Order: sequence, then C-alpha cells, then structure tokens
Amino acid sequence: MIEMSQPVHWVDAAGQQQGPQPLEAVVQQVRAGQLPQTANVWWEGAPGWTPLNQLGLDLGLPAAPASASAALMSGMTDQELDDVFIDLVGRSWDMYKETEYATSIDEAMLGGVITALVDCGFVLIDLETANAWAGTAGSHRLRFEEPADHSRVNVSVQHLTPDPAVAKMIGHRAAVVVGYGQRVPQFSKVGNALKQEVQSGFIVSPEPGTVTFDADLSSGYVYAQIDLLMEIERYVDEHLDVDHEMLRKHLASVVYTMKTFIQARFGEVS
Amino acid sequence: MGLFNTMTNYAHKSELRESKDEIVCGQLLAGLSHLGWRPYRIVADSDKQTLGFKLPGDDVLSAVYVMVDRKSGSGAISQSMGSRTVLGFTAEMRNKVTDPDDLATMWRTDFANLFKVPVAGEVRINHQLNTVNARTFQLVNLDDYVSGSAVNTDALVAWVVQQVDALRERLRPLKK
Repeated sequence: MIEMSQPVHWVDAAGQQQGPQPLEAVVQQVRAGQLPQTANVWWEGAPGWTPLNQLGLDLGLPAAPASASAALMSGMTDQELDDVFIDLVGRSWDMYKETEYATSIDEAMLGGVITALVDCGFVLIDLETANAWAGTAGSHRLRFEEPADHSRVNVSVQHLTPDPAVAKMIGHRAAVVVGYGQRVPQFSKVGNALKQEVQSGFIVSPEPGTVTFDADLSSGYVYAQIDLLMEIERYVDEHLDVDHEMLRKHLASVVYTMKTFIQARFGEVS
Repeated sequence: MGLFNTMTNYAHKSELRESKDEIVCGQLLAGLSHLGWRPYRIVADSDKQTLGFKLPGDDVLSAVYVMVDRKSGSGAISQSMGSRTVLGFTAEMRNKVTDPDDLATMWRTDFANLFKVPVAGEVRINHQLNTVNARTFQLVNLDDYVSGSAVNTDALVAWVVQQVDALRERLRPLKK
C-alpha cells in the first residue's frame, strides 16, 4: 500500500507530466475536481504508470455505478425502493377509488332509499336506469307500493356532480323527485288529474319546491310529486355507509306533504 | 264506474306480477345492507337487474354483484311456468399489483373458459388485469321466495350469502 506522503509524478488533464509532490496533494486535486480519478501516477520503485483509482485510495468520491439502471437507483436501499413503489401503487389505488366513489355515491344513496322504504314495509315494484349522457351520471327511477292500501311512493335520483373535481368544489348533489300516488276509483277524478298533468308538462325545468301532478289512466293512479335538490353526502359517508334513519325521516316529510296534496284533491285512499 | 275499476284492477294485478323480480331486488338490497354490505351499483336493463355491493373489511373480496334475470312468469300465460329466473353472482377480488406470472395464469384459465358450456352452479374464474372475478349462476323459481308482495327475505338473503361465501373460497388462493 502506497503511503500518502510518498512523492509521486502524475499526468494532468492536459496530458502533461507533473511532480513530484506528495501523493496526498494529488489526491486533494482529485477531490477538488481538478484532476480525474483515472489520472496516472508514478513513483520511485513503481512497476509503471498506474491510474489513481486503482491504488485503493479513498478519493472521496462515490464509486461509479456499474450501469445506467444502477445509477438510477443509486443512494437508495432495496427496502427504500420497495417502500416507494408500494406507496406509489397505493396512492394510485386511492385516486382510482376516489373516482369510483364519485360515480357510486348516488347509487349508494339509492340503495339507502330502497332499504329505508323496504324496512318500513313498502315493496319495490319498479326499477329503471337511464344511461349517462353529456357528462352527467345516469339517473334512476324507483316505484314502491304499500301492500296494505296499494298507495305508492316514487323516487327518481339524478346525480348532478359525478365528476370528482366538481364534487370537491360544491359537493355531491342530486336532482331528486319524490312522489306519492294512490288509486282513485272514479274515472272523472283520474281525468281531472290528467288535465293537471298536462299543465305540469309545461313546467320544463321545475324549480325546487314545485309540486306537479301525474296520472296513470290504465292502473287508475294519481300522483303528486315534488322536485328537490339534495346533498348526497348528508346521507352517505366516504365509506359508502348510509344514514338510513335520516334518509327515512327526510323521505317521510316529503311523502307526508305529497299525500296531503293528493288527499286534499282526490279524497282518502280507496 | 264498475268497468273502470275492473280495468284498473286488472292492470294493477298485472303490474305486480311483472314486478316480482324488482320486489326480490328490493328485499335483497335491504337484507344485505343490514349485513353491512354497501350497495354501490344499481343497474336495471330490460328484465335484468344488477346490484353491486362493497364488502367493507372483507379479507378477500372488494365487491359482489348479484344479477337477477327473469325468464318467465311476467305475462299472464307464462305465469303457469312459474317465475323462472337466473340469479347470477360475481365475486370480485382486486390485487394491487399484477405480475407476469399472473398474466400466464390468466391465459390458462381464460382460455379454458372459452370451451366450457355454461352449467348452473359451475364457478368460472376470469381475470381482468388486477381484478379476478369468480362467477356462478343458479336457476331459481322466484315463486319459491315471493308470494304476492310478501318475500321470504331471510331465506333468500342467507342463500345469497352462501353463494358468495363459496365464491370467496375459490378466490382466496389467488389473493396477494
């Protein structure tokens, strides 16, 4: 092993022979970036010119990576590389699930509506899905019937903010129509409701709170329904867990009012 | 007025007969929600409904889909055949990362599926990159569970859970 005090000659960056000087001074030049670590040195008794980096000296420089990929991963242990990879994949799944959540929350609410009404004794008798179009999520229409008196509750839900970015700004909102219907035994009364349905048809874009009437002549039902805007996140949390009790109370208040409208106009249920 | 009532009664009866599959869907949604399953996908095509649930805390499955496809009994004549219905079940498992060995397995199972004739109760495994699905279907008569608008919900829900439990065990070895 050569001593650091050993006087040596060396070849500089321009190819000129320099020295002699103690080896330590030459190593300092390498550490200062003035001389390449492959610069050749020679001293009395040496077999020939030898590159500095083959003398087993501490040149104060990191070992040159063996390959480009080794250079890419330099400074990181295998464990660190694994940890970062797992974190990146995990974050990707988080973002994926965020989008999935944004497009599912309305259907979670819909499941909550069905559960709340079925728990009260209604049966679901109609379920329709309309496809998404022009940047809006699809809409759903539900119809329930109470087996005892055949009265009906209709609920339609359209998610207005399926885009995660929009939902982050204003929250998840839905246009909801809730209706109550009952069978009316007299043709004239259903006919009257039909006239009102025609009038309701002129309300192209109902504002919240607008009550409209609808009638189905074939099955003899008349319906009163109201348009509402609802904040879905009041009922559905970030784990898609639904507050069925709050949903039930809110539905109850609307159904109660619509029932009052129907009964005021068409009398008690048949 | 008598004629009007007769007419509307007939229409109403017919509506309820057609609604047997929806009635079942409603009871399944409510029953499975009470078990902690969280509805997150509800799609109704003509005569076919698909209900998707998330199963929070499940160590294998990320989601379950129940498909109700009614084949007979919605009309007055086909009613005599009963409410023959295909109930399909898909259990979905997600692995966070798919490696090349998984891709080789996908080829084998998915290729084998091409030559299988669909048989009720048979389980098929399908891979879609990170998602592995186990599917099966059963032919049932909804009349066994539904009478008028009354549904034997407990029996139906327990049977559905049993189907999903079986699919979960088929997927468990593939979970990473």
